[in-house]
Amino acid sequence: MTEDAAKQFSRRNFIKGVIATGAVASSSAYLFRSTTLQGQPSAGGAPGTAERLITLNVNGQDRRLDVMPQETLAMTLRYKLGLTGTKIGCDRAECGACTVLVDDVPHYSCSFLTHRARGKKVVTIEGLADAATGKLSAVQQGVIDEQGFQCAFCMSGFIMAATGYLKTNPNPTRQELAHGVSGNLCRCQDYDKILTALMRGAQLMRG
Amino acid sequence: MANKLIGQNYVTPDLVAKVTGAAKYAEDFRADGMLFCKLLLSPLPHGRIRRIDTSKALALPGVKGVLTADDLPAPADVVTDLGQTIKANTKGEKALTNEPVYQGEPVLAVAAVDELTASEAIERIEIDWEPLPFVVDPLVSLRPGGPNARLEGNIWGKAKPAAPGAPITPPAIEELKWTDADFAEYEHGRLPMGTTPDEWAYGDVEAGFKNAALVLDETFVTPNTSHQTLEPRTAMAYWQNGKLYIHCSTQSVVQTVGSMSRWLHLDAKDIVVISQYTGGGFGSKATGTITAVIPALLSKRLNAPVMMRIDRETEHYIGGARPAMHGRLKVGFAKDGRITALDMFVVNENGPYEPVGDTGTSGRMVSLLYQPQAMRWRGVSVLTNTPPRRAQSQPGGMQGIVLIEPILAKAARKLGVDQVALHRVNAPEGKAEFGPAGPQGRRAHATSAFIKEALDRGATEFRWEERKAHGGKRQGSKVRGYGVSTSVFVAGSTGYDGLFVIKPDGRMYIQSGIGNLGTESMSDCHRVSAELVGIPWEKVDVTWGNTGKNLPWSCVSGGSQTTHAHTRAAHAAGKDAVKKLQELAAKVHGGKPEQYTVATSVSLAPAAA
Repeated sequence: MTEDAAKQFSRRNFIKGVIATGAVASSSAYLFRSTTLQGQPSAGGAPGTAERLITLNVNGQDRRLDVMPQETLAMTLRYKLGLTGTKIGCDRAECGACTVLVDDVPHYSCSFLTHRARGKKVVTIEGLADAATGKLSAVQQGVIDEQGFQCAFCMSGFIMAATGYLKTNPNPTRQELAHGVSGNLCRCQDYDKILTALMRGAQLMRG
Repeated sequence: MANKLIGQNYVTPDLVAKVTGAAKYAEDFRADGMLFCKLLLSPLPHGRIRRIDTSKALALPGVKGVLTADDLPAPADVVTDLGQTIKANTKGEKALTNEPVYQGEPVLAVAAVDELTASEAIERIEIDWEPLPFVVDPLVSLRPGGPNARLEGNIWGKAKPAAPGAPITPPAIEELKWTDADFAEYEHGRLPMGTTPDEWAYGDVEAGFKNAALVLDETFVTPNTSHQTLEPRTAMAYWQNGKLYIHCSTQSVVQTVGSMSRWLHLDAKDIVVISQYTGGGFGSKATGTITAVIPALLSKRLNAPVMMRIDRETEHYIGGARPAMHGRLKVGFAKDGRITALDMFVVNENGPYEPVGDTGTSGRMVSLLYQPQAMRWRGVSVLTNTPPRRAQSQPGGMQGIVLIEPILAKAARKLGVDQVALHRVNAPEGKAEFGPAGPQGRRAHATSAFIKEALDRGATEFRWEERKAHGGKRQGSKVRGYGVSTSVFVAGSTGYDGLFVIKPDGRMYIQSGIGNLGTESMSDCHRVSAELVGIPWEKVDVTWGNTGKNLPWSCVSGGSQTTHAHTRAAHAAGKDAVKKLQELAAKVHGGKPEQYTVATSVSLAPAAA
């Protein structure tokens, strides 16, 4: 993981980002379907507020969305785009279950404001297999081959983090790959099996 | 002949959905008109609600309703798989309460069109609280005049034995206090040992200490360990045609119908539990979680689907933890490290609700694993105003082992005995007995034990002799030590129904009532059916995770028992199928059933002439 990428994960930067947008994102505040609470700007935007109708590129498709300024990418993906493969484990940038790729870099989508993803390419677990043939990606196939993971609630995050890491280092040692996915937690304590599966994925990727 | 399926690798039927993100956990379901609910959590470790004012919350646009403890049905009695009725414990845990006994306990729930509105409504609810005495440390509660976690006392009394055919009544809460004299020990860093409600012994403990070459008396405390399942205990519910459909996070599937039925006082036939994937349980979601009834009740009242997303903060409170155990062990050792006598004393942190089994299990597992020649065990589980303590992988056994292992390491050092050798000389063998004698005067025993073999193999593979020589030496800024520990727990129980259908298409359709924590028992257990009938795995379909699909009864998935127990049920079903196919063949083609062999594939088409 590059130092720049690591910096983008930090909670401090996330909080700074939130402050910059002039909104407060509460861990208990989600889904804004019909609320008119607290003078939230309506779609179309009041003067001085962020535009709410935006275009997001997710898994290769442009999606037009109504997004609140304080909305996180995880909530947009799960509740507005139906992409529930991205899991919310802690919702505070600690567990990594919500990891997605933004311009090929793994990000915790629970701590990434959806507005920041404008003009970028977002890839989720649903976007890894070949859209035309359904052929699984190398990392996905590695997990199948080695029966990595137990409950798999962390799996999407791990696969996305590994996919992102392997773009920067296609031939890692086991130690390096462990470091590459060190921002992801598995509560079933399956790390050894997970690493074996991800290393197998790396091998398949190299062909 | 080698098995074709058993013991062979295969791709489990849930795996592709997991890697593609298609696998749906409780929070991944949506329903038309779905409302969201949020919980109001108690700010107090113990208190009573004098008055609730929900008017400002209900006035908020988008708020649909409030559910309080007064809206909960009274808990129903339990009927065990053996038909024994256990009366409901009115002092046990409920989904919501007017007298919270731990900080963070759910007090009420608000349903609204979205979570932001529900959260805002929670902020507008006014509660007039009466604070009550509380205690978070079991030893503080045992002190003379110490606070009690519950108004009635600080320990559970003993359940009264039921007359044959009569229901079992739950124990009452009682008070236990020790004396100042007992607590004199505390000032010396040793666990005080006052009176305990539970005690057992076998052998001559005093003689064992007298004959020992070394006696150690040590106090240790194990930590509370939160389960922290990565999937919080989220639930979504709706009603259709008078039936409740509940998407929840549970370790078991068909057995969760029973607990929902008790908690909701609702006929089991009117409940459909859907849980194909569960993100971790570790004992805390054995038959679902009691808070899952909240969206079910709100949904019924509001006539709309309700999603209750449990966030991580709430999960910290309601998710449960392994109880901390305070232990004092006096251990006598012979020169070779054999344990001649063990006096084990434990004080368990029970949490505020149902009695946890860890206390007693700690003694029985230590007795099994280290085979003391004589042993006494005493224990008490003290109620505390801390989040509920729940079973966690190897409940009680783990704490017992953690309490004694440092003492064994110290004894090995003092006696000049190798640590592996010390464990070996105390290891159980064969039908090793453990615990106290039962009512018939006989002690329980293991069916087999191979700890010595495991130690030998472990020592070889770890290169114990070679590595221990480097132990304790400084390498740069680090000093590494080497140690050994053994572990044990009870496992195995009764499997129930094996169920599958072979259809004219030649495929085997297996129904599984087992939950899916990713341990794959919901699939592994049934491989034996296909093996016996001789159907290749490609022609097997497993249905699991939805009790609306006629799933058979199966054991609770907890305590590492499912594969052990339920494979036998699937084996019986497989054998039954073979017998029936042979009878069918004899009926259609003549001859005797036993003349037919069922193998490789099954076809119900007429045989070629």
